[in-house]
Amino acid sequence: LLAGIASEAITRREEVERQNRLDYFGDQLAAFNYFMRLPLIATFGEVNRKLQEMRTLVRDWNSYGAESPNETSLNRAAQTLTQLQDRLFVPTKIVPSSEGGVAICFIQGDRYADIEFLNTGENLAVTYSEAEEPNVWSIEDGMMELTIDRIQRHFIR
Amino acid sequence: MPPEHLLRNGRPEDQAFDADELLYRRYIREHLHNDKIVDAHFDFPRTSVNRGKYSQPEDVLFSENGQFERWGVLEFPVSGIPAILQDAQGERFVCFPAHAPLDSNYGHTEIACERERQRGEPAIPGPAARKKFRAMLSKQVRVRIPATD
Repeated sequence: LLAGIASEAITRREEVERQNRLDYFGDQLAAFNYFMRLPLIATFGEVNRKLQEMRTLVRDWNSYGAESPNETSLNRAAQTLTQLQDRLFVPTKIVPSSEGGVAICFIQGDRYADIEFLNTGENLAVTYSEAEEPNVWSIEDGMMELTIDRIQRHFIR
Repeated sequence: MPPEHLLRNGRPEDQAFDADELLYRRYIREHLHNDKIVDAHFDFPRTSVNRGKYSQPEDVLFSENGQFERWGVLEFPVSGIPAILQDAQGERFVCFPAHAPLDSNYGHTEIACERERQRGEPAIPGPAARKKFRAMLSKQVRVRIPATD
């Protein structure tokens, strides 16, 4: 009986130690991931700051009569930035659009893509490269994740 | 006062454009990345530019109060304007430079757009076709005077 109790105690202790080791490695992995993501989190912070700055733009900010981004385009761009951050897909820049709205741009080498949020509520995307003609599509409600997929694929071809 | 050569002074419209005539437009630094202009830089149609026949690149940076001191200038040839634009429904649009002189800026020009089947009437294509035009145009652009910080 005593041998059985001792064996069970040893098994329990081993289980606790195994769990502690797993927790330790889990914590280490989480910390590693956190620190790896820090520069990206900082980049997204900067992109979000630029988006917030656009709230101060006034009509004719481009000197050619452009409307400033409105709440519709600003909010939609902010939501999309969150989706991009979840994927760690960092945009190259975010800019006000001369059509009235906000554009999130991706540029790598000769490849270009953007997602443009117009003040009218229309959302558009484009991909192209030096050798390719622009491919433009409208983004319907609920289709942003697919649009981001498509843009990511444009850069890994 | 604008420089003398920019003043209209009663001069008539001149709708004759050579394919290699350069068109100029000012830009802000944010709209450029590694010499690539983002298509969000352009509005369309009635995109404002200055034509090289009657103005110099730096003329588009002229202002009484130095407002455009840090701005840059883009250039593209008339032949860089996509002449035909087709939307998803198959509607075809004709795009071309139209001299639209102002009293203080004789070289002022706009990129105009008309339906191919209804020439003479200004037309505004849908947002997707407009974006395609803007993206095509942005591929044709070069920096003539860089913007500064």
